[in-house]
Amino acid sequence: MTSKRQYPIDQSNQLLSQGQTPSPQPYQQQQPYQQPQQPQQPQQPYQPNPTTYGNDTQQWNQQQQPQQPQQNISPPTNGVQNTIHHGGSKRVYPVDPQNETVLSSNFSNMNLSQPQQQQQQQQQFPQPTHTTVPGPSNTSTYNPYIQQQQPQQPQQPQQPQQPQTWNTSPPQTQQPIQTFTPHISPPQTQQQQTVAPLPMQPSSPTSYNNQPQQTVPFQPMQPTQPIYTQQPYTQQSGQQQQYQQPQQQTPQQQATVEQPVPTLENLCPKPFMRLSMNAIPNHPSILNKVHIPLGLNIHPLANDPQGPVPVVYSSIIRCRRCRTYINPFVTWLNGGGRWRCNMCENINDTPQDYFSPIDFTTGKRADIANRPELQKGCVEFLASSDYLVRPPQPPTYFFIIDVCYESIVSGMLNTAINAIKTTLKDLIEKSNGRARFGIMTFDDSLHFYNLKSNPSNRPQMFVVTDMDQIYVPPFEDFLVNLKDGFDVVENTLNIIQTMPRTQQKVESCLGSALKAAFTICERVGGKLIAMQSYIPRGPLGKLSIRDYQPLLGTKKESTLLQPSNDGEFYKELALSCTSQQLSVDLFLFSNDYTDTASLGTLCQITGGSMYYYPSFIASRDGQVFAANLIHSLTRETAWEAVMRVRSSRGLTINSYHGNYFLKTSDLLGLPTIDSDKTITLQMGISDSIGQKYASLQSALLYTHSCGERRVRVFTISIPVVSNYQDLFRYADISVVTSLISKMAIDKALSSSLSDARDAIANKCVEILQAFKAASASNPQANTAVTLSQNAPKLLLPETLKHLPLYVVSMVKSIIFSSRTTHPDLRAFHMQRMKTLDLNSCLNFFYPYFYSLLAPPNYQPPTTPNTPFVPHSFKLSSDELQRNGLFAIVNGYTLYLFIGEQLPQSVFADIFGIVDVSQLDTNTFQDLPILDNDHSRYARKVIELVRNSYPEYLKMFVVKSTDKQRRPEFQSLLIEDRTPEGCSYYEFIIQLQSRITQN
Amino acid sequence: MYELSTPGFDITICFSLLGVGGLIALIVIQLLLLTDLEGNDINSIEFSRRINKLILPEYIIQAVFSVWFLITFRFFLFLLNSPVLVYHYLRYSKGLHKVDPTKVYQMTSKFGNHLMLKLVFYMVMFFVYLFVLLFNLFSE
Repeated sequence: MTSKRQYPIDQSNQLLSQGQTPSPQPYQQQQPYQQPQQPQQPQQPYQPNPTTYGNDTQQWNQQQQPQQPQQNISPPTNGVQNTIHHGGSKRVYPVDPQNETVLSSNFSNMNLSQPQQQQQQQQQFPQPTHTTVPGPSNTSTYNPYIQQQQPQQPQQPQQPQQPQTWNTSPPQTQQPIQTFTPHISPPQTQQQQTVAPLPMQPSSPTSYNNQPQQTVPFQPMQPTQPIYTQQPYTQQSGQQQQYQQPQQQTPQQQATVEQPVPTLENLCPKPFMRLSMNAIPNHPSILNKVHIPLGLNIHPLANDPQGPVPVVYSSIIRCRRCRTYINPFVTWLNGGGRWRCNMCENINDTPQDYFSPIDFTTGKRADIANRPELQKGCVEFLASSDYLVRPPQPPTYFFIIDVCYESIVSGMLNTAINAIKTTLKDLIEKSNGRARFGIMTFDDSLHFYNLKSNPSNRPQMFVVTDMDQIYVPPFEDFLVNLKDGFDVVENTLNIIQTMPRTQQKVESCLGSALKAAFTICERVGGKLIAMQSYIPRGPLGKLSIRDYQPLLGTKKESTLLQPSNDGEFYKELALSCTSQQLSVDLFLFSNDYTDTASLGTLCQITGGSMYYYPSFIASRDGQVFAANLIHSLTRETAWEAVMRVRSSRGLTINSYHGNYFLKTSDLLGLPTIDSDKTITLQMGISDSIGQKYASLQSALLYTHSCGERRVRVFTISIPVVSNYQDLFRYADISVVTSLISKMAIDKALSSSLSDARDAIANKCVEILQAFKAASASNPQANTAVTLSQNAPKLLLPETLKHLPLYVVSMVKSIIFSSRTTHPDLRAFHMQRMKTLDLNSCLNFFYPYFYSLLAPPNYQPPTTPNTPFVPHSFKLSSDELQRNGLFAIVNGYTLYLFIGEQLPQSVFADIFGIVDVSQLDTNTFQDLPILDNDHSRYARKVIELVRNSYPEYLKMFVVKSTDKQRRPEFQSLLIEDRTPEGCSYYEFIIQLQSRITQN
Repeated sequence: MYELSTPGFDITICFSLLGVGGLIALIVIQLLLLTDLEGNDINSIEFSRRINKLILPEYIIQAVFSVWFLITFRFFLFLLNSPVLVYHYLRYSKGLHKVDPTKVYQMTSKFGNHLMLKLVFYMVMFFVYLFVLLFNLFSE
């Protein structure tokens, strides 16, 4: 339906390419049309600014709409000329990268650019010697993906080779060109020159971007070029490729034989799926040599700036053998009558109603413009009844609230009920009135509320005191439709809130309550939200208080992070929940030991999430708890989901990280999955890969909140390379870091924390050694950077130059640090890390460090939309000033550091209190809203920071005299030497000595 | 080699032959379940539920016969059985004997090897018992 309008680009492709020479890469000709529409494209060096992403996206979407008529009008021949003309002068996006750009820049801005920023601004010793580029550079590899970054670079005709000009250090900048030119005929030279840094990358963005800069007439790129990616990326093969090209240039052949080339447009966008290397080695031994872990990060319900994923309403076409969904990378044969699956190479017949002839001029199907599933790597199919086991489940929320003494005293109950009340309307709206609601409370007995509508709007309450056998009264109305029973539900919540509770009950039977809730919800499925103030003490699911003190810091500490034997109950309960499509969200508020490791299995297996508020006091943590509860209820959630990732032959999936249950060897059961959860796959190569491209497809079958059953399909196709030296250029630091951390968590649990720390450092050393070997054998393959003048022999690949920094910060983070940490807290962070998205993950290891005092030259923005980016410092105490006010943000907590000599007037302006000593750090929640410049600036920075995380940040005030929190704060300054480990500089020196030794 | 010289029809060995036959059957069932799991014919919860029912009986049968050999002074047979007995005891005491449905797929290959080794061991034991039985029968 709307798909036509959503994909104007491809229509234009067709139209254009029909009119002119058969061009295999029609997206190049899109440039002229898009270009006039995008006058606001950033022309200056990329400036990270989170605030503008939304705007950019909107602009993009708006621009696309009116584009279509113009495309149809303009004659195709002009298109080519336009390309040249405009291309030379203005920056254009050859392939719709805007969305990509937005997100990736967003991403890199959040975390990656940060170290770079520092390095730019503080030229101190551990800094890289190269001049840095704006943020995204280090995420970039070749691949269509890279393009995202490049459009934001200033286009400088003198510097056709973006990736290399970034580095001042490597001497080999121009060499590839020189070696190439003698062999190549003039028009190809042109092309080759631009591609030179990545000789074999036909779809390389560099080539597209730079092409317009050439002042010579446009030469269509050779159609078959992409096919040869499989060959080694050496220069010889590059020549071979040139010679072979003429053989396959007829469009007819191309139409039938050519395997679709991954472009930015047809690949799944990076926010959804991201590989640790944007190229796949073709043999297991190469992967072993390169030591970079191969992994895939999938964020199924990511908020894509590109707008919603297109929904396809036509029938679902799948490969007969391997059940792969149809995707842009299948090859059409027999004029469209058959198609070859890109995963298993099986040749399938095209169903009659799906048949469309192949347009020989483009080599694509004639109806491709109407088929998002053939155009884009991310689509949603509307699932037919074959995909339904039962009618789509309504979004169901069942609350299990602890009403023990502690919950009431701490104010948890009050906060929770208030938060639930505010979300009720939202829940109805989001689910089209289908949401179902239920609530029960418990202390040493269970209280059920029959929410049947009645004139008085008062619920019937049932109290069950027999805890050994869970008895649930046989009533249907413990779960009601929220819309129909709204009044009763609201009334019930009020009653629960105000009910007089005279006895001080301290026995809480979470196990029994969960069992009862399971009995109530088992036929429906949905979400159980449990709030618990003590360690479970009931007869069922009793957890003993483990004696953790003597074990801290020893090898046996890891046993505390694993479920105890008593925790078996929760594991079994979780298994029965997951088979009934129930997920459990836990909110824990204990003052004391609460065994998050054992309770956490509930969330891990059922795909829920755990929130932990140690020593909860409503006056301090209430705001955070309420915000997180509301967010967890209202975020986009997929119900009764299953997910499967298929890969082409040779690739294997070794293990999964995240909150899921493996139903069969490759089917992830996810009772619910929401927009904050990611699944990380650890992959391997079992066999040599003969194809030119390897594909990966993830399919998430789920029930949308609106009641539709959908399949969300992401597909990526990655070039296969045989040269391991090249792989370094394709590495993606964010996925590598996140994968290493997840593997290290497994290591910590199975072995010990110190082993995990060693494993992290060893992994880094292995990668760098492999890089050293690679650059020794082929110095031109990679651009190397050094981090410090004092460690000149430590060479790092451009893409992974921040790996040592992340390794240092990982080792010092609360998850792995040798610092004495409460096992509850550590287990909680470990579990949280498993599902964290890349951005939050990197940021958790390397936090932001802001000053909350406006810089001297700061001008308050005149318009509200002006991008505003606070400057983030290097995480070192060098940056701490006695008269400053600083914030360190790690995506979970926000630490406010008050310098001891902070001027009193400034302090009063921001905090609204005259004296520092009057500030109660235990009850501080948020900065007061005051009308003065200091307060405005500080609040603006904090607001900006808060908006960039899904979770609401807990704010901690650290006074410089604070004996307790000061060390905690100090340990976040990870570039310094801390009790947990060496400084960044020392680590680099150590790295160098370890690498040169071997 | 005290027990080898027990003359005549040895009822203990007869029972142990039956016992080890039972053990082999248990292992074979487990292997079949494992292949079912690998072929995605049963899910991991079902697999764990069924296989956990079989593991304890296996341990018990094995332990009972080992102890029986000890108290009937068949030290040689006891020694042959003792490594597995100790191994079982260690698994049981660490709580590792049960299959964890959440970790099934990470351990299928290891578990398969483990079962094959046990199968080989029980087969060997079967032939040892058979040999002892026949030796005693015909040594008269």
